[in-house]
Amino acid sequence: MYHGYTGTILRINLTDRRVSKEPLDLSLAEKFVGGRGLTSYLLYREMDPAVDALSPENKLMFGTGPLTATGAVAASRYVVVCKAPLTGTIACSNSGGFFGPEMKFAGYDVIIFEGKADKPVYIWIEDDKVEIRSAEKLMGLTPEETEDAVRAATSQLAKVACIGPAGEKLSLLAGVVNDRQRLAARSGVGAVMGSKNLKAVAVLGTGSICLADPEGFWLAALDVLKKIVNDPVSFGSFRAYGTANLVNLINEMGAYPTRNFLEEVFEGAPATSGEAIAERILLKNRACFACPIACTRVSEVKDGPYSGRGEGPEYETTWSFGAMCGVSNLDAVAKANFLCRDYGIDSMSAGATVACAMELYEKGYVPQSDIGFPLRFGDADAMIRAGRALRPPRMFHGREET
Amino acid sequence: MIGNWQWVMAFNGTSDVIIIGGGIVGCAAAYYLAKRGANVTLLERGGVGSGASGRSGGGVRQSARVSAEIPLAAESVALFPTLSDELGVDIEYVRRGNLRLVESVDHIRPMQVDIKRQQALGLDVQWLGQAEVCEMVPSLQRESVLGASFCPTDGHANPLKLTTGFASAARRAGAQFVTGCEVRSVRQADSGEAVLETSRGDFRAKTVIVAAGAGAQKLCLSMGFDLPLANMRYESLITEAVPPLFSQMFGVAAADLFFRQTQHGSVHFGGGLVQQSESEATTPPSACENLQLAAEHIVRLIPQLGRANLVRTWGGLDPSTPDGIPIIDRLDENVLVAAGFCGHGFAIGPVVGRRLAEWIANGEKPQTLAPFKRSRFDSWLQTKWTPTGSFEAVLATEATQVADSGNGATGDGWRVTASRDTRHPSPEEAAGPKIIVVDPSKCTGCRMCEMACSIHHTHTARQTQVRIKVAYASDDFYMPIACIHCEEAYCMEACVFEALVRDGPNAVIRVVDENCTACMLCVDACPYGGITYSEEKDAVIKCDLCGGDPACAAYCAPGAIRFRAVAEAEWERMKANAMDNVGKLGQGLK
Ligand SMILES: Cc1cc2nc3c(=O)[nH]c(=O)nc-3n(C[C@H](O)[C@H](O)[C@H](O)COP(=O)(O)OP(=O)(O)OC[C@H]3O[C@@H](n4cnc5c(N)ncnc54)[C@H](O)[C@@H]3O)c2cc1C
Repeated sequence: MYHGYTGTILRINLTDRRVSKEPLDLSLAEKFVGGRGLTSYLLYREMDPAVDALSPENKLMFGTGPLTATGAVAASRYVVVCKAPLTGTIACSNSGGFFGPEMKFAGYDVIIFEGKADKPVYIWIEDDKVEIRSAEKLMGLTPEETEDAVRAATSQLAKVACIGPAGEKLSLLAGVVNDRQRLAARSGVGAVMGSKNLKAVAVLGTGSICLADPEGFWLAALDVLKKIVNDPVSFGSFRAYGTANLVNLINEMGAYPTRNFLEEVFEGAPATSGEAIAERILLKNRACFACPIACTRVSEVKDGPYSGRGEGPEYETTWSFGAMCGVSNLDAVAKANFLCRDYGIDSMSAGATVACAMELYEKGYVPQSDIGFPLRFGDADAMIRAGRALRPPRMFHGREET
Repeated sequence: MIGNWQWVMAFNGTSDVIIIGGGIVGCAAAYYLAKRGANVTLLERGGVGSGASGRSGGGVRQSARVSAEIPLAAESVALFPTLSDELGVDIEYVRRGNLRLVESVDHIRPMQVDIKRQQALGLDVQWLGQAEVCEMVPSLQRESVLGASFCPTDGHANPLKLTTGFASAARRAGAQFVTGCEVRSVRQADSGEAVLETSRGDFRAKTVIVAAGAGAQKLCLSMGFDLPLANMRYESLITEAVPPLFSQMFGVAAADLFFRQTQHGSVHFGGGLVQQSESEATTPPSACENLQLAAEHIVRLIPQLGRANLVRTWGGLDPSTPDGIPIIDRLDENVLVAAGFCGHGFAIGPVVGRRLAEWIANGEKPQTLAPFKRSRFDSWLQTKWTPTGSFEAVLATEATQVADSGNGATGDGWRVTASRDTRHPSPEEAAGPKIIVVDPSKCTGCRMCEMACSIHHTHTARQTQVRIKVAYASDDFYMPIACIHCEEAYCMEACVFEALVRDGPNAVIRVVDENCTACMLCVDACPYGGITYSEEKDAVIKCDLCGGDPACAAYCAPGAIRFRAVAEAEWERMKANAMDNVGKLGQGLK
C-alpha cells in the first residue's frame, strides 16, 4: 500500500509509441525522497551521462513528491529532470501551479519520456488512458495558445505542460510551460522536450491519494498553515509584494546584481520593486495549488508601448531585465516578462543575455553594426528590441507579432 | 509644578491639539503648532526631555540611515543651523561631519557598498582610508581604525537644550504644558472629539498627537491599534571635561558605539543596541556589563580617554520598528502617531514636529512623511516583534483562528490586529444560523478548500467528488462554489425519495444515503451545481457544513470562505453581489 505516492511510473517511448506503467519501488522512494530525488536517481540509473542532451537518447522526466496533491500546504510543484543542453549536466527545473497535482490525481508519481517522435505530437493522459496525438496544428503557437487548443481538443479541466516556439526551435533558453504562464525555466529543459518533437502534455486526473493517518496528517497541515499565516514574511511581504519583495531588501544589502554584475546597488530598484508592482500594475494575487500565500502577481500594463497582461513579473525577472539591464522602467520589465512567456523562454537567462550584450556593446567588443541599434544599459526600448531578437524564427506562423 | 496643577483643575475646555509626550518630537510639534496660532496642550508624564530626548547622544546625521528616511534627515539638517536663533537658546550645534569607523576587515566591503547606496540617494558621503581618517582625527588610535564613511554635513547638538528650547519657545507662543501627567487611554466621545483619560483627570481635544516614545505602543494599544514597536534600551556615559580631542560625531560600523565631545569638554559616549527592554519605566537600570564594554571600546579608539573620570551614566528607551524607520501616520480621525525612531530620532525630531504641525494645519499629509505609513505593517498580524531579527508571531487567542472557523475574528479572517478597531463592531457579530459566506475578491484560487473537503469527507486527497469546487472565470476572477442551502430548495422539491432533509440549527440540507437512489433529479434541479454524483457511494453528495464546523472555512487562509451568521441588512447586499458574481462566472465559463 502506498501512502502519499501513487505507486506508478508512466513511461512513454515516443520513438515506437509504446506506453508502459511500472510500479514504483518503495524502498527506492524512501531513499530518494521527493520528485527531484527520485527522478535524479532514475536518470542516473537509466541513462548514459555522455549522451547528447538534444538526442533521442536523453530522457525527459516529470516528477512529483509524496506530498504533492495531498493537501499538504503549498505542495504544488513538479520537477522537470533531464540532461541539460545549456549546462551539459543534470537539469532540475521546477514549477508550481496545478500541473504537478493533476499528474498525481491521474495516478503517476513520475512520467518518463524517451526517444523522439517522428512528427510533432502531444500526449493526452486521462487517468489510466494515455494517447499520443498529432501536434502538427499546434506548432508555432505560444504556450497560452497551445494550452487553449489542447484543452479544446481534450477537456477544459485538463492541465497542460507544453513548450513555446522557442522549445520547438531547440533554443537553449527554452523552458517547459505549465498552467499557461508558469515555467520550469532553467537549463534548457524546453529544448529537450522540443528535441523529442513533444509539444504538449495534457493531464486530467480523478483519482485519490491515500494517507496513512489522514487525521494526523491534516492536523499537521493545519499547524503548518498557522505557522505560515502568522509569519510576517510569508504571509506579509510575500503576499503583499510577491517574490519581488526581495528587490528592495537585497538592494539595501548591497547584493543586487546590477548592470551585468558590474555593480551591486541599483538606483532604479524602488521603481521596479515588489512595492512598485503592487502599487502600479497588480490586479490580483493568485495561488498555486493548496498554497495560502498566493504570491503570484496577475498584473496588467494598461497602455503605452509596453502594454500587456499576465502573471509576474517575479523577483528574478525584475532583476534580470531591470537591474541587470539598468532599466528602471517597470512597464518595460513587465513587457519583457510577457515576451519571454510568449516565446516560452527563461526570463532569467534572457535578461542576463541582454545585459551581457549591453556590456559588450558599451565596452566596444560588439560594434553597433552587428546589433543594428545602440544597446546601452538603462535604455528600455533597446532592451525590448534586444529581447525581441530572442524570438524564435517563424514563430506565430509568420503572423506579425502584436 | 503646583501652579500647573491648579491650572489643570481650572481647565475644562477643549484644545485644538493635545500632544502626548514632551520629547523632541512633542515639543517641536507644540512649538510649530503654537506658532501657527493653534490652541495646543502638551501632556508629559515626567518632565520635558525626561524620555529618550534628554538622554540622547545628540548625533545629527543623515548618513547610515535607511534609504526612505534620508530625505527627511536632510531636511532636518538644513533646519539645524537656524534653530539657535529661532528658539533663542544656544543648542551647541556643530557641523563637522559624522564618521562611521570601520574596525574589522569584514566591515570594509559592506561599508563601501553602503556608501554607494547612500550616494545613489544624493547624499554627500564618502569612504576615507585609514590615513585620511587619522589625519582628520589625530586623537584616534591608528591601529584600531581601518577606514570610515564620512558625511561632512552631519554633526551634533545638545539634545536637552534643543528639547527644552522648543518647549520654552512653545510656551512663549502660547502652548500649555502639563507635566507630571500620565495619559492612560484615549477614546472617541460621541461628540467626535477625543477624550484623554489621565492621572490628572480628563482632557479633550479635536486632534491628538501621540509622541510618547517608549510609552507609545501601550497608548496606541488602548485605542485598539497594535503597532510593531519594540522598546530598545541604549546606554550613555559621560566623562569629566577634557581638553578638545575631536569635533565630529562618531559611530562605528558594528553600530554598538557612538561618541562626541560636548561644548563643555566632556565626552559623551554610549552603546548602541544593547538589549531589548520589556519595561518602559522612565529610569531604567544601567546594565553594568554594557557600560564596561562601551568604556573599553572607546579607550581602544581614543587611548587618551583611559585616564578620564566618568561622571555619570544613564540609559534610555526608544522604540524600534521592524524596518528601521518610524511610524508617522494617522490612526483615525482624531489621532496622529509619531514613534519608533529606532535610536536616532533626535536628529529628525525638529522636522517631524514641523511637518506634523503643517499636516494638522493643512489637513494634508506632507509628502516627506509618506514613507512612514502605518499600513506597511498591515499584514504583520499580531506580531510580537523582537528586534534581534527573529520574528515571533503571537496569536491573540490561539483558538479563535482555526478551531472557531473565523467566528469572532474580524476583517481578513486570519489577521487579528490589522484592523482591530474595537469601536466599529463588525457585521459578523450577528446572531442566528450560520452560513458559508464567500468573498471572491479574497479568493486566490489555491483550492485548499477542495482538499479540506475531500479529506474531511473521504479521508483521502482528491479533487473530484468534492462538495466544494473552485470555478475560474478569468485570470483575476475565481471563487469556490458549494451548496448554499437555499431557503426555497429546488433539490428538495425534486427528490421523491425523501433522500434530502433539512435539519440542525443552521438549517442544513443533507443527504440521507440509504434513501438516495441516485436518480439525479436533484442534480438537475440545482441551479448552482451544488450537488454531485459519487460513483463510490452510488449516491449524490453535497455540502453538509461538516456537521457545523466546515473544514473549507477553517483552512481558507486568505479568508475568502467564512462560516458565520449574517445580519438582515447584509443579506440584500450579499444577494446583489451574488448576482454580480454569477454573471462574471457565467461569462468566463462560457
Ligand atoms: C542613549 C541614547 C542615545 C541616543 N543617541 C541619538 C543620537 O545620537 N542621534 C539621534 O538622532 N538620536 C539618538 N537617540 C534617539 C533619540 O533620543 C530618540 O529617537 C528621540 O529622542 C525620540 O524622541 P521622542 O520625542 O519620540 O520620544 P521621547 O523623547 O522618549 O519622548 C516621549 C515622552 O513621552 C512621555 N510619555 C510616554 N508615555 C506617556 C504617557 N502615557 N503619558 C504622558 N507622557 C508620556 C515620556 O515621558 C517622554 O518624555 C538616542 C537615544 C538614547 C536613549
